[in-house]
This record gives sequence, structure tokens and C-alpha cells, in this order.
Amino acid sequence: MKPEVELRLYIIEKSASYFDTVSKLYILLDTELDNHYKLDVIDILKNPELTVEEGILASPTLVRVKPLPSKRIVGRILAKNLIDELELKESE
Amino acid sequence: MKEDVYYRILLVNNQKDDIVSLRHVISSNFPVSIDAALSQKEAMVLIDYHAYDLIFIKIYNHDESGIKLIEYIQASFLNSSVPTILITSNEFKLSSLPDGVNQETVDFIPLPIQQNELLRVLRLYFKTIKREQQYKVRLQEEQKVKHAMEVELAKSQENFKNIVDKSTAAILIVDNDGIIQFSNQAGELLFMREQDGLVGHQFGNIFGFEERTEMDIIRSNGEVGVGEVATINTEWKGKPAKLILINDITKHKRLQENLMEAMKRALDSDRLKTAFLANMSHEIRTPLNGVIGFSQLLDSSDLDQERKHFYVKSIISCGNYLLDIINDIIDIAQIESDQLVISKSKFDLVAMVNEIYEIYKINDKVVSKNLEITLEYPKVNTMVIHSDPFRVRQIILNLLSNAVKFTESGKVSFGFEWRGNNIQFFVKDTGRGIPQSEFDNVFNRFQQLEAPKNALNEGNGLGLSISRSLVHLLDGTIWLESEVGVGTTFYFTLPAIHNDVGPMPEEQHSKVSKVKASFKNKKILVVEDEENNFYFIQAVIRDFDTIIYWAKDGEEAVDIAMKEDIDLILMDMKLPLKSGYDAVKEIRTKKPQIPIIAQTAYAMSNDKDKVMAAGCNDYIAKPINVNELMDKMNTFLN
Repeated sequence: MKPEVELRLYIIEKSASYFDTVSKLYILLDTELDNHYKLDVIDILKNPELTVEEGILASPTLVRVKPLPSKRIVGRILAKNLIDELELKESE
Repeated sequence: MKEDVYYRILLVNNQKDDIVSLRHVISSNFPVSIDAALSQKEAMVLIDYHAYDLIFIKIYNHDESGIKLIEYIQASFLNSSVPTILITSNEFKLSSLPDGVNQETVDFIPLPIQQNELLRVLRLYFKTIKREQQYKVRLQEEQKVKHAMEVELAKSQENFKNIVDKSTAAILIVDNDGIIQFSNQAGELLFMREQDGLVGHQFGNIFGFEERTEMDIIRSNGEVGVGEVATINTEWKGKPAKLILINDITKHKRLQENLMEAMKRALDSDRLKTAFLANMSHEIRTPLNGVIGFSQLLDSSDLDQERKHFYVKSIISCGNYLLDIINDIIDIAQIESDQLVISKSKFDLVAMVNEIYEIYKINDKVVSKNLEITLEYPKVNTMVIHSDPFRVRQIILNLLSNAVKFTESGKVSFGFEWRGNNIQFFVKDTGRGIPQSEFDNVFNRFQQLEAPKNALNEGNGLGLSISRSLVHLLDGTIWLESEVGVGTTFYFTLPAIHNDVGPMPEEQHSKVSKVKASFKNKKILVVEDEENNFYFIQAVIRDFDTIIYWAKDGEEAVDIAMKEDIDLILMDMKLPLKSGYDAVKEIRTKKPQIPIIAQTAYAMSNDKDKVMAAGCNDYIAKPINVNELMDKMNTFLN
């Protein structure tokens, strides 16, 4: 089944917070969205052209690619309930 | 200056007498300035040019011109709202005025005019007018204040605009959809988006930044910088938004990182230096123990020749090893403190490599491992180059020593060839090879020393490091190629301009030749302040039936040289009281032809120059090599 939620995380792999951020993000997404999501983690240093092309201005930036329209959060992305913030769950 | 308050009045009456009496009544009771018009035409002119506070018009019933005048007044620029009092007959009614006329400002006094009534009406009107005037003044003042406040506000806005525009910190406004609504110049600079600007671009909804925090920012060329960020909740065009301030601290951060790294390297270096010292001390103690130990054993009286010979060989071997280590340490110390001096001269490279070949052909390790040694170089008989022969030899020997050490079987080949303006040397072995990842470490002396000592890395590990430094000092380059399991080739180049290669010079650094010792009855003066050193020399030349004189200092040396007919002087240059140099100079003045060989503690090139300049014929380095001494003595005595 094709996941309706597609996310892309732009982050610097060699930053100190990389491991923590990515692992916590996966845990949160697994808990809240079960398996119905797709997350691409993109290392900004390894993909500079893509990063600039997408207009990413800061690290980390989490982009909701699907569902449209695209939404973005920046900074301490795990500081708030990003599921609500990015409206990743369909409201009942 | 106090302005006189007075009221300006216009009287319109076609009866001159009426005007006179009215004027009199009004002006004697009120502060007024009165204009009079006898006709409508006159009145209109006055109304065009003066602003009045009150206008009186004598009007007749059904008097159309009077009505027209009222209309004219109300349409005028200066007097449109001036109270107009009609002096008229009893039957007049305000309602009889046409609709176009504004009745608010029109009133009337019936004829005949009652003076009291007139005055009362005037008083009432003047009070109102005064109030209005005062009101106008207040209004003007309020206007002034309002204007002043507006100016201040505008100035304040201008200041803030300048602050925002000129601020070196990036200032952005991002709405709740994450879109940048405003950016100052510094902001566009920070993200390197001066071309398109930032407004309208998606930044993203920002989380968790109420206090100051650090954030990685990405510029339009893909560069990553570090920003110090503060966010404040605000409003933009009526909707909630975030004000973001970013300071670019990329340089700071990089500086900090560099500093930390430098500190780490310094600490590492410190640690390695300690390891180096510990290691070196071990390296020195071991052979020294050998020398002392075997010497003690030699002291025993009941030893057979074979045993004695073995002990002696061991002592010589340990001694030489010790000498090597100490020389290496001194080399390193000199290189580190930029004190190593390169002394260039012309020498025959072909002769040198051949000599080295001969030495290695019979090297213990080569023989015991059954290694094949080969030498390759261009087909010439001689090649004289201009470089430091001592150091070039040192480098080649170093590389060969390593090659032989690390090759268990097979072949070690070495030699040189021309490559453009350089001579390219090579030393190739069929040893175990070096992995590519270790290539950079191979020339580092400290790296080797941290590894535990075992058969694989025996030796003091300084050779390659010294070789590299020497190659660089000789303006060359050094590198290696290697394949694990196959072998290693070390290369180094020396710049040598073809012109430098010339015919063989007069003096030859040839192989050590056999000594034709014929020193019988020659008088040799040994100038040496240390007993042990003297006894050594004595032991060496005693067998040759020479007559030995011993001077312990410069004074004695000069005395003996003058008194006796000396054939050769061996002068230690470091002496108490009169120095070797002074002694040599003094001897030279009286006896210029006596050959003098200087003994120097370490064959540093500037020593050589110094002793030759002082007047010596040759020099020999301590510790003295017997063959070399024999050789030199032979030269001067025969």
C-alpha cells in the first residue's frame, strides 16, 4: 500500500545532533503513523545542489512532500507535536 | 506682542446717515473695525478682499438684490460662514429666503433699530465669535502638537528603518505558513540570495527558538554556515508572525574548531614526544649495556681467543649502533631547529654508488638472507654533481638499510637516472610492502615509535623521517610506491643542472684504500686533553714505531711544536686554556709546513670550514675511525 505521507528531512550528517534527531524522528513516526509513511533523510553536505534547489535555508528542515500542499518546519523539529503541526494524520 | 482683539464688521446700507449712526453706536461699545458699503457692488468688492466677523445688510422687502448679496456672501471664499444680520422691516421672515441660502448664518433685526436690542445682539454674537476664535487657536495648537508628534514618529520610523537596513544581523519576518514576508539586506547577504531576494520564499515554520540558539544555515551556493538565532513572536499585516534575528557566527565557530584541533595536535605532539624520549632512552641504553657488559666480561683472564674475539666484535657492533642512534638524534635535533647546514661540493656520484654497492654486497643481513643486490645507473664512468655528498650518502644508506631490513628474500636494487633537470634515485625491494593507507605515516618518525617494539619494526625508525627532511633541504622530493606482498620502491630526486656535471675534480673521494703504513721513526704530536682519547690514538699508532709526543693543552702544543722537529700534528680543537684554533694559528706563524690534522667532535660542515680556515690541512671526526686515520696519516707522512 502506497504511503500517503511522504517526508523529507534535510540535515547535516556530521552534526552532533544528527543521530539523536533522526532516530527520535523515526520512533515518533513509527509510533504515530505505523508504517504508513516514507521518510527520506538527505545529507546537506552530500547533496548541496538538491538542497539549494529546494530552497532549504536551514538545518534541519523537515518537509512534508505529500500530502500536498508542501509544508515545512525548521529547527528543533521534535520540540512540538510535529504530527499535528505538519497535519500528517487525517482528522477524524 | 499682544494682538488687539477686535472684530471686523461690514455695514451694507444705502443710507449714509444710517451708516454713520450705526458706526457710532457699535464702535463706542465694542472693539471693532468697520467697513461700509453704500451699494451692492461696493459690498461685493469688500467681501472679495476682506474676511469679516459680522456683516450687517439693510434689506427691503422683496429686495432681490439683497438676497443675491446674501448668496454671494455664502459663496465667497473668505466669508462663506460669516454671521449675516439683516436689518429689515417687520414683515420679513427667514422662511422667505430661497432654499439655496444657508439659514444657519442668517439672522435679522427689525426696523426701527432699538439700540439696546442691537447691542444685545452684538454682544451675543461677539461672545460666540470670541469662543470660535479661541477654539480656532486651540485647534491650531493641537495641530502643532500633532504635527510635532508626526515628525517625531516619522523620524523614529526612519531610525528604525536605518537600523533594520544597516544592521549586520539578518532580520526576517516569517509568517505562520513559513513564508518569508520581510528580509533586510543582511538577511539576503547571509543566505547569499541578494539576486532574487528572500521575500516569498519558504523558510519553514520555526520551532523552539524562543531563547537564543545556534542553527546551521545554508547559503545559495551550498555552503553551510552557523547562525546565532533569536525568535520573537510578532504580527505582520494583522496576522501572527515570527521576527527572526540571525547573527552569522560561522567564522567564530570555525576559529573555535581550529583552535580545538590545534590544541589536540599540540597535546598529541606532546604525548608523542614523551614516547619518543622514552623510546630513545631505551635505544641508547641497550647498546651501552652491551658495551659495558662485554667489556667487563673481557676483563676476565681465562678467555680463549674465540670468546674474546666474539666479545670484541659485540662491543664494536654495539658501539657503532650507539653512534648511529646518537647521530640520528643530533640530525633530528638540528633539522627541527633549522640548524642543519647543507654543505655542497662537487663529488662523483658514480663512485659513491659503487662504493655503497661494495659495502652492501657483503652486508651481514644481505648475506644471511641471501638477497641479491643490484645497482643501475646511466652508462657513464663518472658523474660529478654539486650537492652535499655526506647527506646524499646518508639518504641512500638509510633507504637501503630499510629495504634490506624489511626484505626476507629476493632482491634489493638501487641506482639513479636522469629525469629532465633532476636526478631520480630509487631503492627497490621485494619485501612485504606497505599498504596505501600507511603511505603518509611512513615518513613520520613519531608514528613508528608509538607501535610496540617487535621484529617487524626493529631499528629506531628515524631514518625515513631524517631522509625526508634531508631531501627537502637539498631541494628534492621523496615518495614511495608499494604493493603489499610484492615490494616497495622509494624514490627521491635531486635537482642537478646538466652544466654542473663536469669532469672529475682533482680530489677523489675514492674507496678506502689499503694503508701502506710507513710511519717508522716519524715524530707525531698528539694534542689531546682527555686521557682515554690519547691512549686510543697511542694504541693505534704504537705498532708503527712512531715517536709520540703528548700535549694536554694549546700552550704545551705550541711549546713542543717549536722545540721538536714534528712530522705531523693531531690537534684536538677543543682544548682548555689556549684553544686548538689559537694553537694552530700560532704554530703556523713559525712553522707553516707542519701538517696538522684537526680532530673535531662531530663532523659538522661549519667545523670543517673553520679548521681549514685556521690553517689545518685536514680533519678527522671523533670517534676516530682507525682506517681513516691511517689513511690520512699516510697522506701526510708519505
